[in-house]
Amino acid sequence: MPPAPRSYSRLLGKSLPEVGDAVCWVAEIADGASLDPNLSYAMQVCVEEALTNIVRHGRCAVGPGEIRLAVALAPRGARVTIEDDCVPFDVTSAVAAPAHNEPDDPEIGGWGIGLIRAFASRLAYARDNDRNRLILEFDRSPAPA
Amino acid sequence: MDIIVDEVATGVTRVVLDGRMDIDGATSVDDKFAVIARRRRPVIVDLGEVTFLASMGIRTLMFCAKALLADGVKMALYNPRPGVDKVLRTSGVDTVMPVVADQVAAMAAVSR
Repeated sequence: MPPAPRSYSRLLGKSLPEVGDAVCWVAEIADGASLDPNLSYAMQVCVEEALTNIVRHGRCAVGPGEIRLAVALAPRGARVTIEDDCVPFDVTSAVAAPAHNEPDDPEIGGWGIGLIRAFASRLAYARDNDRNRLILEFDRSPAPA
Repeated sequence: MDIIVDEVATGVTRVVLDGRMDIDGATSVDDKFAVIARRRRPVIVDLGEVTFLASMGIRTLMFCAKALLADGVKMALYNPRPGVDKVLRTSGVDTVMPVVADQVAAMAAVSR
């Protein structure tokens, strides 16, 4: 029988320092489970980008603006679930704003959604009980033959 | 995030970063990069010991590079680890400033 998935969760508020702490928490979970460094890196990038988007751009009409972050580890990979009570925002279908990469563009930013899509193996979104739920899945690399 | 700033022989500013360029790391070096941007000298940044980079770190690097480019001065990044390299190329940072393998290539990139 395959081992049961290991699950971890925490709550955080809408602040950038708490996002930083949460990303380090994900890194510690990955290190503790001896995950492949590439998988760990991908998880951290996606968590930082998704949480930063919520903190910087998420508008909370009701509720305390609390974010729930959960990590589940399984033999085939990892799943990260992020829930927030901000206005609906679907990362999986949102049109990413163009990155401000022109040298004479005074704005800076616009990379987050592109990084999430590049580093996660799969994305899923649901709106449930007035909350956004983003599920990010990360596959383990196949073992060398 | 540790940062060392020195001058290499040709008047190029070299920045050596060590640690996580995450939210805390980027915030801790923002002021130093702002000072570097105001010097209007070519800059090369050694990323070899940077173990993590995402948007907040890109923002710090991009702010400095764009400020320099506005004065016609170049900045180059070199020696990124694979994960950091993927972030730089996915985000298109390499279209604004060269991302190269080593210091020699970085020096050449900012001297052109």
